Amino acid sequence: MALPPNVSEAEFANALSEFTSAVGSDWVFSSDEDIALYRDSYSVYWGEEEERIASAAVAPANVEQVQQVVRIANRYRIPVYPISTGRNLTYGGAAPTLSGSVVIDLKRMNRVLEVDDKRHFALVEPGVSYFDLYDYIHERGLKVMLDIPDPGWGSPMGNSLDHGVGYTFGPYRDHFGSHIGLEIVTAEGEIIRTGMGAVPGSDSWQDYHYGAGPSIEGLFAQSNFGIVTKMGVKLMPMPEAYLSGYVFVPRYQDLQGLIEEVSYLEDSYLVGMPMYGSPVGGPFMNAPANVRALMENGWPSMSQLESFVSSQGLPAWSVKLQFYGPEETVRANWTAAQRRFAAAIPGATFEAGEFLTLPIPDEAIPSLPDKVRFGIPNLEIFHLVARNPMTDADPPDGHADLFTMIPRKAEAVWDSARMMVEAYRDLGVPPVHSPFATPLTYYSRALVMPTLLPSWRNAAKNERSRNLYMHILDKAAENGWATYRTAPAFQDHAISKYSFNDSALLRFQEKLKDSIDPNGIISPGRYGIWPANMRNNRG
Amino acid sequence: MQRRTTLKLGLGASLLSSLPLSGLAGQKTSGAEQLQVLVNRQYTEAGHLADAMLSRNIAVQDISGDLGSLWYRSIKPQMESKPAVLFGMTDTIDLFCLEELARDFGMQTRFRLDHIIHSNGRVEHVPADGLNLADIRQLLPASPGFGAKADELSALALQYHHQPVLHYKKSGPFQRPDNTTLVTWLIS
Amino acid sequence: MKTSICLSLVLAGLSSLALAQDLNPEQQHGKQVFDKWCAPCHGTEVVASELLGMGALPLPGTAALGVKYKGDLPAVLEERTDLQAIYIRTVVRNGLFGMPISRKTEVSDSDLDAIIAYLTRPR
Repeated sequence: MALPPNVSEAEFANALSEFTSAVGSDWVFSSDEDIALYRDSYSVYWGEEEERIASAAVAPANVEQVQQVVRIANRYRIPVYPISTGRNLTYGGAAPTLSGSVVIDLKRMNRVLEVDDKRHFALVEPGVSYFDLYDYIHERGLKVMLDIPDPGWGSPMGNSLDHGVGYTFGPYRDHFGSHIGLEIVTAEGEIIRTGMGAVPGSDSWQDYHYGAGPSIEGLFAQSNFGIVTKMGVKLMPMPEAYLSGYVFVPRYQDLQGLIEEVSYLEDSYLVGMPMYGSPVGGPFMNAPANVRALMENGWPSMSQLESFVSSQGLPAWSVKLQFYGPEETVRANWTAAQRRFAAAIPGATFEAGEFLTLPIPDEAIPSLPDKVRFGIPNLEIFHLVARNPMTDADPPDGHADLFTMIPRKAEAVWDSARMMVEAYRDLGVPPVHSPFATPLTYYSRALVMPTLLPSWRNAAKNERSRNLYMHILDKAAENGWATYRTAPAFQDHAISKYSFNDSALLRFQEKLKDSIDPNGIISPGRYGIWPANMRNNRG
Repeated sequence: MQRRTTLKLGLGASLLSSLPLSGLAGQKTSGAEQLQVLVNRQYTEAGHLADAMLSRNIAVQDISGDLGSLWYRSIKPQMESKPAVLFGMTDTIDLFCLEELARDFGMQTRFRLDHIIHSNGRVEHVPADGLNLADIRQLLPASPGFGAKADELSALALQYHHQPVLHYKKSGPFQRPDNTTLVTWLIS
Repeated sequence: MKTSICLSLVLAGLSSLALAQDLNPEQQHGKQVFDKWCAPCHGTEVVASELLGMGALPLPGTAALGVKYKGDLPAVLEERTDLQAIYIRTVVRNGLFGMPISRKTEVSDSDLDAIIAYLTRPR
């Protein structure tokens, strides 16, 4: 039986008994069988000593019970780990950062408290999933559109608090950036409301974000300063229409011009999520043989790449532009975009995509491709990990994502792709990137050079994935790049790359942690923030 | 008899340092594959089979406790390093589970012989559709104790190792109140 | 294209109507839980994805089982007539390959019993 660190069996038994008084015996999980449900299904340490395993889980029904649980945990110095829907796969799932923690499973707190389709916001509890929020909106015919991540069973709150991202219009793709108002239970069991929520009787908690004075919300995302129990979400009004169009540019070097024009459109709030591609380079992470051959004798030169491109008779790069709004404006914006690209990049060509009126009619939804474009929750992303003819001999058990943040410059796209190829080759793994690797655009003002590494229920195979993951983090840091989000297995290593001025940022966060959570009970070690009495755990 | 409600995939077992894979030298098949024998010792006849094979120094694994854990910690890793042939005697629900787990590795049932043990002690041996076992009555008595005829059973089953898979009706039979159905099978 | 979508939807609607009438209360509850928690991966829709660079494929769980069984058994879980409670419970509570673990705060034991009652009902 797993115990919290430095807590005896007798003390733990007493604590469990107090948890039971607080939430009821149905909602305290301490048997081996029940604790196993809180393992990270995609753990890169499955079955090994470093796998993060809870000592128990507690599922409160409401804020008052959360307060009681936190106070009990504080009295016994038991670390706790709050989860919302606990489906943060590839980033740790439902498992705690520190083995022996008691998971606080907030799934039962699953009320949609309010959705307003005139002021365009929602107020949700942690256990609300995207599926739940969508159904709430849909059943009531409310005219707002969600921005959702890939798996619909995630939590709008949980996803935002891990800096998760989506697929529609720029500001909304940044899920934490589009939250508005938090309610938090502190490590000492007090309730704080931020922004206008701090004014008793306020009716503008989800209207104005800042309140007055320094805002503290950022402390509760990717961290361990408190337990969020309510969150406001800014929503996009349901657009009248959607239009897509493709821009193709002929030369390898045109990528810079392409990115610049796309940035103009995104930063002017004229387009939704741009999707980069490479007709000559083939599908991302599955380049054809002739492209891979270019890398056989080291990285090809610019002139080699330009020769290759012109020999293939295909455009070097493309971008899919997506427009949301009234028909008049989406058509006008697409027209203007074409004019600008044509002027900026000689030889640019265009192709119309789709025009759809919104909302999508119910009968068209089941077979609608890429439902995330319209905020319709689904699980279709699991094709990435589901058994397919290519993986049939040895399907993975999960994966760990690694998004490297780079600036919106072609140079950074090319250099980071090269870095990936070198990193894979350093460890004897066939590379999945190529000189035509295209970046992702989750955050509208940055680019992402992504990769994902398989996870297994097999220690030897996991070790290979972990080593490559760490190696990429190291090589990225040599270039001044780092990742935006990672699983507990990698958090210390990832955070160590944010080391400016002798890790001044982390040292500041640690001071706050020691003050706000003196017993260090909330999610010790999450994103590298260890309480004082565990700071030598860092590794 | 207590039915398990899940195949425990071994949280407890996984937390222990990995156990040595003891005594799995086992019997080699005609090819390079490792023979893995699995029985459900909750059943007397399966216990007889197990004892008979153990007396021939063939390792046997009991799946009556934690089939899932055994699969993931022992059987599957062995198969990943060297192809295996699975042979054993279990109930039909165990077989369903093993077929699903083995199918994940492209393995299927090639030999299946059901043993319907009636409450009056009479035993019927029923080969799966597609198996011609005209001589089965000579090999196995229609009475308790048949499980001890392990040599005959394993030799018979191993003949089917390289045979085409059986397309028998998979929907049963599963446990019925008036009898116990065990099954001897080979999966490869 | 539109006609065939309408027709298949009508047929689907008819078959689900028939289904509802044949189910006892536990099985109906099981169907509801299945539709919420399982159908997004194990349902019958066929969907393409430009994002993933894929042509029309069944949903991920159905697609995976289709590759696993290669036509020997139905890839659609709701079409299986041989499923066993112990196996369903094991997969739901332990996960399998890309399918993660489901907790009791998501699918309670009684929800799981109901899913099992629905999927293993005699037919």
